[in-house]
Amino acid sequence: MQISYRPGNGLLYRLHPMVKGAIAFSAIVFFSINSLGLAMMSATVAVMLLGCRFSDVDLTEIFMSVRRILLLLVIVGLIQGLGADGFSVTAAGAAMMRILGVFLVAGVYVTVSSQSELTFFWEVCFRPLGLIGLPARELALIMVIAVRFFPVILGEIDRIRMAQVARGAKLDSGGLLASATALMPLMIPTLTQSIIRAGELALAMEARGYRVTEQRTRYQRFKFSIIDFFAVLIPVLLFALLLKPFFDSAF
Amino acid sequence: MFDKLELKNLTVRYGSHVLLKELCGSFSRGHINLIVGRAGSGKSTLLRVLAGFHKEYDGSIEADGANFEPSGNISLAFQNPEALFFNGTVEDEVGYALKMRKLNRSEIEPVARAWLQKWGLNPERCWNNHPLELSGGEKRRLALAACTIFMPPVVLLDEPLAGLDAKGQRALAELLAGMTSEHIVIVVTHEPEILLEQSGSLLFLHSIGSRWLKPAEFLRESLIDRNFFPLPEWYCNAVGQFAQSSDLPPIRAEAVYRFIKSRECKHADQL
Repeated sequence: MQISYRPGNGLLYRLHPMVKGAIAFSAIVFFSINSLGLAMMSATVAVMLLGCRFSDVDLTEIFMSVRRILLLLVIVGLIQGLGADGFSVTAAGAAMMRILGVFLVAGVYVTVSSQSELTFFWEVCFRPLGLIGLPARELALIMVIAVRFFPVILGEIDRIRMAQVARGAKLDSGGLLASATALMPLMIPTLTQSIIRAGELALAMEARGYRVTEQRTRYQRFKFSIIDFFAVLIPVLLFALLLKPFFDSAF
Repeated sequence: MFDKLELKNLTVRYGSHVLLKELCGSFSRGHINLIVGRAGSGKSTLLRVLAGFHKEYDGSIEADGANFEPSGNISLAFQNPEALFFNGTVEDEVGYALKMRKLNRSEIEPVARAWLQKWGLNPERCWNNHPLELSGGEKRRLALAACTIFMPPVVLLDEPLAGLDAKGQRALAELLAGMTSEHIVIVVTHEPEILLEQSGSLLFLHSIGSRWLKPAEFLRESLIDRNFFPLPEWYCNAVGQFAQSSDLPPIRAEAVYRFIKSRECKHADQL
């Protein structure tokens, strides 16, 4: 199972794409650089998950995907936990909670945002770059395609793995090192196939009338609603929490 | 080499949906084993179960009485041959399975060239080509060559005849029939008529229940009930009136012609 957009009608789904993006961005920044302890961060994650639950967001796939980063969590926990005074469980837990928080926020954001909402958000974010002559819309499109290509690439890895097993290769035998070594032959074909796919995608988009230089109209129009005005308070609050130590030290 | 692959109470699921229920029966060496059914009846899924790719099932699969371990014992040629290709050249593609078996390049090359020839491809012409540069029929042949070069005991083929012209289909049917002495060949197909003559058993998958049939039984059922399986129109028109006959001819114009002639003679004798 892979994290991907799941249509829904909960509160989070109904937010304006800009607000959704702002919440996700601020939450990722918050989890990355806040100075809260393990308990407070755990509480924040719990509140976030509770909010998602009330908003009918299907968290099954996100939870299932956590196991993919388990090794990363353990490594980060071990490195961060080791200090001059020995191993600190709290420091290790806080570091792990940071990564878990970022992962969960990104997972929920991708789950509740459709392709058009993601494109819209990135287009607006990149719009200022257009002022200095950069192709803002195309940069946004690159970002969206990159995000959307993850499941495709994972599918491609599965396909190549099956093609290899279908010819008698035993990729899953042996220990951790053997499994890692066995994955190496997957890498080059996956990269090659990704480049081929990118070419095919470009052709498919052009065949459907997409042109880089043409002025585009938008079929779906997003409007701010009363909920969005309240939801904007979340990123404001998160950034305020982040900036509080600076203000405290300044005044 | 296995003689028999046996399914014991095999129930295959997709989540909560039961696709195949309590399937019992066996595939054996010596003839082509066909799996037939309408789209969505679970043919390809059954192949994936046998190949070890689909794990959501109850029951067991046994090879010659012992638990069947698919890894290293099967080869599976997908419906779309392009899905099998992940190497840059035909040489690497066909030699991959041997490379995995630790053979060196000098050992692989002569075997791979001979194997390509066996499957009707000219190695001189395509050796250094990218697999995707080949024609549709050539891609299918390459996929089959790449899947069988390491002589797996069980060969699983998903729609191997699709996209080939009539001549190519006949040639391939002969090649597949030739493989049955050394491999258990299991073929999923929508066109059983081409392989029916070489097949000894046929697994008919259906939502209301799956059945193992002899080729003649399959022909008879299909002629009596046209909704059972759509046989070629010309065959139904030609032999439909003899549906109850015990010696129905294979779906081949020449055989049908002889069959009709013999019936006419019999009819004339009776007059």
